[in-house]
Amino acid sequence: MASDFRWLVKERDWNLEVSTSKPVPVKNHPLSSQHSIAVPNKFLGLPALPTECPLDPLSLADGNSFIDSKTKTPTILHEAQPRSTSDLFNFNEELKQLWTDLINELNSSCSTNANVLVSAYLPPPEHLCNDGSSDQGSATPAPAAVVGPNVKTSLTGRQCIAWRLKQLELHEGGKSAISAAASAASVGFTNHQFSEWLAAAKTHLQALWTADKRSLALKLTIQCVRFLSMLGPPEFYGTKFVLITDLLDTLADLVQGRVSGNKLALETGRNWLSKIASIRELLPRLYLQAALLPVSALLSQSEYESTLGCIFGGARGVSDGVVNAFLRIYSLRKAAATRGVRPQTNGVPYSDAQIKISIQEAVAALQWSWSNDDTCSDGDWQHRSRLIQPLLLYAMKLFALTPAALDETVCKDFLRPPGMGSDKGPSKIECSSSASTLQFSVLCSALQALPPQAFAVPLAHSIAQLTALRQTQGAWSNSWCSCVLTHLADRLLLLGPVSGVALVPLLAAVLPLLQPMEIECYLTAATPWLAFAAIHCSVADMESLLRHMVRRVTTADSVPAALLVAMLRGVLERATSAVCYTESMLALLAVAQSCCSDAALLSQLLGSVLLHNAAPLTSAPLVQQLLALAEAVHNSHSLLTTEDERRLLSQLVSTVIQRVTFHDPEEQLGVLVAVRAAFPQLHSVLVALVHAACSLLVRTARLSRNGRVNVSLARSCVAFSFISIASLECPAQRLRLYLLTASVARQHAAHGQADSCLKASIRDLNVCLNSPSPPCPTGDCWAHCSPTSWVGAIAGALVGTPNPPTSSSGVYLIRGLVQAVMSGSRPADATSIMVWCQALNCACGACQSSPVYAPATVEPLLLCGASPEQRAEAEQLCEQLLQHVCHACSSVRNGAEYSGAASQALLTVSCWLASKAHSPSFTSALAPLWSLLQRNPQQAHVLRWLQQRFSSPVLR
Amino acid sequence: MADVRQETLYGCLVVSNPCKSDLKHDGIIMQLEGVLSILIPPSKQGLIDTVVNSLKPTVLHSEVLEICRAGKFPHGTSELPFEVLLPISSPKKPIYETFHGNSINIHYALRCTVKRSLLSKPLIQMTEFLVEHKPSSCPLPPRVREFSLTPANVNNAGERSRLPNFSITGRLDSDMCSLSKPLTGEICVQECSGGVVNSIEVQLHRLETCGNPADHLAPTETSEVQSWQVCDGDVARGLAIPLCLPLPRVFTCATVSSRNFAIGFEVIIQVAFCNDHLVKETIPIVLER
Repeated sequence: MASDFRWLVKERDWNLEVSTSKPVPVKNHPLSSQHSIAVPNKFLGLPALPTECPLDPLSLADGNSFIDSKTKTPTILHEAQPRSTSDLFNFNEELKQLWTDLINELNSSCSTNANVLVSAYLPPPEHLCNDGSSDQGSATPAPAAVVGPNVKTSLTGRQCIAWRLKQLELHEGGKSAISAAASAASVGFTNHQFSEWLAAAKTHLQALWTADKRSLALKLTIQCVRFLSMLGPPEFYGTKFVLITDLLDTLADLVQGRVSGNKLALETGRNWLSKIASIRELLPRLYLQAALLPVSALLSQSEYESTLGCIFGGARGVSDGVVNAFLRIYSLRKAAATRGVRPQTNGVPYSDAQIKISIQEAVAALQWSWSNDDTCSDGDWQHRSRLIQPLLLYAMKLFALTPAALDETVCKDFLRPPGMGSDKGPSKIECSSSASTLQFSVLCSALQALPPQAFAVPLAHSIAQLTALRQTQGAWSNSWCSCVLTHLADRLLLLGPVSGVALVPLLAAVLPLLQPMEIECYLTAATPWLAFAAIHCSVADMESLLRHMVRRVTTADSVPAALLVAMLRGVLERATSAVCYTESMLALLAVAQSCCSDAALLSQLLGSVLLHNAAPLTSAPLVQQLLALAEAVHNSHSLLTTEDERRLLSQLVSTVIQRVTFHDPEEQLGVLVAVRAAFPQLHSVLVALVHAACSLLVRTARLSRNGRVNVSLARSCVAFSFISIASLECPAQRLRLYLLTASVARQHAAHGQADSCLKASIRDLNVCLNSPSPPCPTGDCWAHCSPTSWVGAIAGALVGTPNPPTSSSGVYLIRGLVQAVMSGSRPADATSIMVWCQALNCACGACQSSPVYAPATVEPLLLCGASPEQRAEAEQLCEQLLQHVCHACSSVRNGAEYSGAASQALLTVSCWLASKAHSPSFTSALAPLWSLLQRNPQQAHVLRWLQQRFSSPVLR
Repeated sequence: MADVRQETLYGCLVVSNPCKSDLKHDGIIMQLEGVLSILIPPSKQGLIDTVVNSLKPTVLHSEVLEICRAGKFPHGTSELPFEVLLPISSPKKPIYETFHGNSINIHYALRCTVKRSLLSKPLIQMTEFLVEHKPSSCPLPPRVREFSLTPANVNNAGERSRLPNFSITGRLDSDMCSLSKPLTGEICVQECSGGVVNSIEVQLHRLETCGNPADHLAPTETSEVQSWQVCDGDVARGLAIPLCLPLPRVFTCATVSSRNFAIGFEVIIQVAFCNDHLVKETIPIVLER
């Protein structure tokens, strides 16, 4: 093939779903292996394993294919190309997605089944914005309150008195706990009722707006936002925030629609902002100013910046850290949404600059607020951490979307949370519960959100030191330490190539931190670290790390198998194949095998070893361990095991068999024997074993000096194959494999065993031809084909004789073949004629004294030159077959399939007549065939050749 | 809004006659009127004041012009454009900005009168227009005004034993504030031991003096114009909280002082502690256009 020819293949990047395929010029043929595409393995969730039988054993004897194919790395296209982020980057979509994630996270934090008391008093929404003259002049009080002593309330005095009286009245009714609970429930409103109330408020807001009562709509919104000023109950605050910000967004959309659709847009916008700026209470004012940021973005730059300054500066006045954080998150979201309108101020996006400052100020507010709260228990800190983590994560992700996130120095500030400033040494870090909780939350969020470029290894060292300190102080639980270390390793994994840094000290600092953890935390944190080490460390370092892990795992009472398997898969995926041969890896595989009872997990583990280790398996311990894993999977199979699972296991074992390449062929044969003993019921494994035994012989012969193998080895291999084939159920598969084994046996001078194989194949042919239905119930059996092919394959094996020609098959095999094709009650149809013609060809070859088509040369690959007795017997068989064919030809009918059969019969007869005297009876019998050919134009070229042949003087 | 510096007030008088017959009239006149009314607050009224009532409104400016002579309006709508040259403010005859307060009202209006026959009442329609001075071409330089609240220096602390030991400092970027710009500054709770800050508010008050401002006995009424909460709860110590408070567009005007009345403003920093104790600091400011 000319190398300069430009072939074209269609390439498609599936990661970019919007991309369209387009022709890409390549230099190689599109069907060559370089363009092969692996089909994902649906069982493993991994790229496809190499096919069950990648190479025909007989073809191994040819040229360079064997060596080349084994030394080549399998073409597994599992690594996705790094996609261009600039093409897919859409800031607004990212923003929406982040907000959706945050909402989902906040909503999930409040259990829908739990009833928590949210408010003691909720008037109907229409009463909130009632502008009746009776209350004119006096400010409408916030109607919400949190039940409990020393809690801020915004009820009016009259409402407080009424509520208290109702409480007392109910308590007097019954003193039992049940009545107390009932009274509490009766005077308060649960989260469900509150949600319904806010939904009604939203509907009422829209109705007010439609009725041109915009001031009342604003008033209603202000009243609703007031609920956010109270944190309690904290488990519902997230949901409350989501519901109320939805109301705010509704109002903001309505205002924006009015402003943008107004001729006096600027004046209307200013009017709205002026109204909002005159709100007395801090939190409603700031929330509404944030909600209307898109409106203020339509005004002048100075007004927009002034509004932003009012919001973010004013947020400092909110003392409660959680309330402050929620306010800032909402403001950041709205500020980020105005980037398109107000992209830049002084060259830097104003909202971008605010993000970092806001995060730092929110953290400072949380630190202050929590440090003054002495009432929290450990559980409360956990809950608070869960409450604010989504917020911090959102803010960090928002920051990560901005160009400033790529600046390493900027990101470092986030990674030094309170107590970790550069001015303080590690020993001076605050160890209070609030500080440590906050530190954990900030660090975790930063580690999850910030770009990997922000995490240089020296900084990772600092984080590891901080984790060690917190662990020593007992400020962070093991699960928190594990979480921080896991996120850190995940970031480092994304960092890409790391050069010029001491990774080993970092790993040495991290490993002792993992040691005292519970085994679950240990494995969770160790997984990414080992994966990171697998990329950057040498095999010796990996060996020591794995040894460390073996010690920890073996001392644990019970090992969570899923985590262990996930860890091993992560290592195998990234490490070089040499790691698989280390003792520690083998030990870990053994541990995984012993502790894991889930066959699917073990299959995944086995698949990972095979998938990511493309090199031949030359280590006996590794092979044994892999087979032990496969055996464990096999032993777990039961009647409930699905056919897919069996097929998967068979595929894995077959892959192991194909990869095994030992220096000593007898040792390799021993492995095959062991596999057959271990997996006797997996038929595809038996097939693979036969192929492997034949391949072993061929490979050994190629590697030997004289191209021959030891006779005992050859006989052993053939015997192994012969015995293995007998265990198969499908006669068609047996037939094929017997023929394969016979061919290999003949090549290695095991003629007796080759004859045995051929005899067995003829027996199976008889079974196949006489079975009324397909020989085996499996519809997709690889060996199934037409009877013509079966007979042709056997006939070819009988005619074809390898070098030396002294090993020609006896005529008794041809006799057996003829009897097999003529036995039974097969109808005289086109297929039968073809089958008989195949057998006739074979018999014709056996009765020749010299080759028919090349009389000048002695072709050693033809069955000819046998003894006169054998030739005479072969001639008898030929006559018998020819009469059968001629008898069948008398009943042929018109049709394409019959014309094909007729041409085959005539060709065969013409060949036979070339060496025999002309027989008139045959000529008359062939007349219907002749007329059939003349009627069928498709056989015109055959007809011309036959006309020349029959008109030659030899035939006359 | 119109400018008092020889600005022209444009307008159009629209007469709508729904009757099929013509509408007869004896002429239309337009009267531009600026009135200053000062009402001594009841709490400051003396006995004589209650009997004699209050000062009569002062006409700052009055001008009458004829829009149309006697005639008829046909069926439908008739438009009569007009323009009035506004007077120039001078020391002798000053023109003040529009202001609506509790005691002092400065009000500018257009009164349109359609004269009719003797047996019919004249038709009168009045509309107010706002007068604002133009921003000064050379604004006064900002004067930073710092303040500090401690138990020692607050005046109206009430029962001092209930006060915690606190120190709240801050500043206003300028006590000469432009009405078109927000009131800026910062506030910082430096210390608060023995108690908790519940809320900090910034209030804008107006001071209306009825009489000669130089006379200390002249009654002055203080009323709240706007209040902003700037701290909600016990904020962090030492954290500077920026103030950015847009001034209201109504109920304010440029600070003014004349022989018989004065309008001034002050900012009050009000701190509420958790025991509902309030302390205040008053900072007089000057508003200018």
